[in-house]
Amino acid sequence: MTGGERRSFLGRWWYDRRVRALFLQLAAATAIAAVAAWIVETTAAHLAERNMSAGFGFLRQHAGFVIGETLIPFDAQDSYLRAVLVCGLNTVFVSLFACVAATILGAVIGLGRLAANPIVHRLASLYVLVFRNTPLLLQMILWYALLQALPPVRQALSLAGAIFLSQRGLRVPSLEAQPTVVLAAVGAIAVLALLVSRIGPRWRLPVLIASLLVGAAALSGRIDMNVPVRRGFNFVGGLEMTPEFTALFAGLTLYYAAYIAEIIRGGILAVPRGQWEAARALGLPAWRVMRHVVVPQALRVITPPLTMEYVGMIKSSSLGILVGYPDLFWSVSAMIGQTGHAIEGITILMLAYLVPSLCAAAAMNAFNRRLLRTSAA
Amino acid sequence: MTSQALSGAPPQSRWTKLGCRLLAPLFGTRGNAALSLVGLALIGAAAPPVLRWALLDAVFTGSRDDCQAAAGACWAFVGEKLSFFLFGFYPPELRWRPALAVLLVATLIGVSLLPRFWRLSLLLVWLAGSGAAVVLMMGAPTNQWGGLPVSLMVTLAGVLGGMPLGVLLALGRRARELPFIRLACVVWIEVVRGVPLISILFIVNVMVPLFLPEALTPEKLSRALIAYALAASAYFAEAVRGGLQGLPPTQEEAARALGLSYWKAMWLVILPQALRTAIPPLANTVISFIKETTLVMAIGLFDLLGTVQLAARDPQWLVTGTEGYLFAGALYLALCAAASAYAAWLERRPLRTI
Repeated sequence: MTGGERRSFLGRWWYDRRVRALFLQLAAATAIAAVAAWIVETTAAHLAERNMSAGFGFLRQHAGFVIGETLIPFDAQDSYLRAVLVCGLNTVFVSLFACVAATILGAVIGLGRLAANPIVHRLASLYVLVFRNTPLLLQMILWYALLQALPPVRQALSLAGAIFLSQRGLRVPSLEAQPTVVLAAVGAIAVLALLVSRIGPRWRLPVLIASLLVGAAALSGRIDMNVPVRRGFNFVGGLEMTPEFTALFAGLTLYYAAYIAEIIRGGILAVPRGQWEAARALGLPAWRVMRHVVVPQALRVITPPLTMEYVGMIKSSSLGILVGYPDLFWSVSAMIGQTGHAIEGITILMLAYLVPSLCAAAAMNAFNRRLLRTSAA
Repeated sequence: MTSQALSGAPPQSRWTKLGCRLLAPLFGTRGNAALSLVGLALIGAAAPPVLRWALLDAVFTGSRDDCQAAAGACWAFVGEKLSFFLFGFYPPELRWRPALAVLLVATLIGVSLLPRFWRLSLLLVWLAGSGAAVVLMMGAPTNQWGGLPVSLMVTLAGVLGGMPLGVLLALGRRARELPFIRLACVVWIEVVRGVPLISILFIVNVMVPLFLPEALTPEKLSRALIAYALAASAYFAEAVRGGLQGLPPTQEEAARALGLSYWKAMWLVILPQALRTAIPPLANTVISFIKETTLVMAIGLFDLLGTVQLAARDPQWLVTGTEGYLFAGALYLALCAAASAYAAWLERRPLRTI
């Protein structure tokens, strides 16, 4: 019965898991390659039709557009590359400030939700309910609309004659110093931080106070405070926070604070009751229980999701384009609109946003591995 | 004489006792009293101006001139523009069509939420129902579609298109014997989740016409639907992965030992358990996609938020649109809160044993 033998030989192959796996993967790889080849071919045909060449050479051309607000100078004569860098800096700037502000606000609200006090508890819960369940973009556009409803510059709301709130956004006094002074101050703070972490707890407070006094003395006269002044239809001097920046910053901060509040609340609730009771039984005062027993344990639970929220904030800062803030996404889409180099532009965009995401993912994996090691030890 | 008077304690009326019970949690200790005062001060500072703006000084019916004269909110604007908020540029005399379509789909969603209807025939009902809804919408060209139907379609594309894709991606990611497929799934999931959703929308909108021959290029709304389904697949995959990781490997081993094929083992044993564990992250993903449908504004489509923003720019009304945004916000709040309440109910529901 040769036929039966051949069937069983084929059958052995057909039912061998390794052969099947190989076959399945070859099929998948072929399909992906075929789709990719088709896409590349049609794209090339489209590009040829429009007389365009692929490549990043166009980044050196003059951008020709003006950027509404920048941290470092930018001129329409500058290149696309500089435009993308300038706007990338804007993304970093707004994300960084929003991360810090949202963490502080989130911690306050998260602790508020844990409070026994019914008023504080209900207010914090209401905040989380409202801000988590409405779209971030809607919140941003609402803040922008409210800023537009503020009085014009002439009737600006002012606080102590130094902080002004008007249709033109928020104006606050700024501190100005020579770059060398700033560098020296940053260096001194780094050295001090290292020093404080090494010396014993008894000496920490005196060292801190002494260095604050020395620092204030050294900096006095070297730093100027630039207070905004109303002149004509606008302000001069000070730090300008435009309505676009304020709407984006407020939107990110208030929305993510609700998420961070829930993460912090969850982290503190994850510390077993026995830990609290044992610390109390040792006679530690409430804040020391928090500082030495609860927070270190809660941080392990809080850190991974908190990092994901930070990455989410960086990604969400791209919504700035919809309230008119010139961030990275805005500059790349403006560049694509002008030059038509869509593929190159999108490559830049994806790389720029993937770097923080993948770094955070790698850091969290390392953190989890370390945690597993320490808890096993 | 009562024993209370003899013992020397001051007589307590019922009212004092009630007062103590009410006030003790608020002013029991010094710290608590301070917290209460801060809370009350916040309420006291915010409530009167908000109430005055939203209710006392507000204009509920009337014209633009009434609103200009009043200091409060202009709810008349919301009333006047309501049908534009909901249906966008759809021709007014044909607005019964999108209204009926929304009603039909809402009923379908309502029915699908009840576990007793979870069977394969529901899929056929969905096919028929969504087909009928699309036919109803076809009364006007797609560039006139807007408002609620667009929000609903984009959400459904994300959830109904992304969920099955996400399950497949999650299964692919844990297929140890298929390293190439596994790698492809990991790359897809991490890249899509790593970039902002708005950029995926933008990429699909800009790149699809470049990639595809012109004859095959779908119009803008379909491109948005594709973008949402593709983006949602990665987020759903991550949610399902958590559920799959929580299952002991013995479940799959036992199912395979009983002679079930891979797909039968997944469908009958693994997925029912994994998806149940994954309800909270799945619900979060659904809710975040309900909220993120607002991003379609970036490619020039008008969802509920887009129509409100457009209405706010109407020079005839001279409004900032705050009232419209609050209205849309209340709608989203109700929808998302209901979705998370439903998810909590689903999670608590006892497992039906066979």
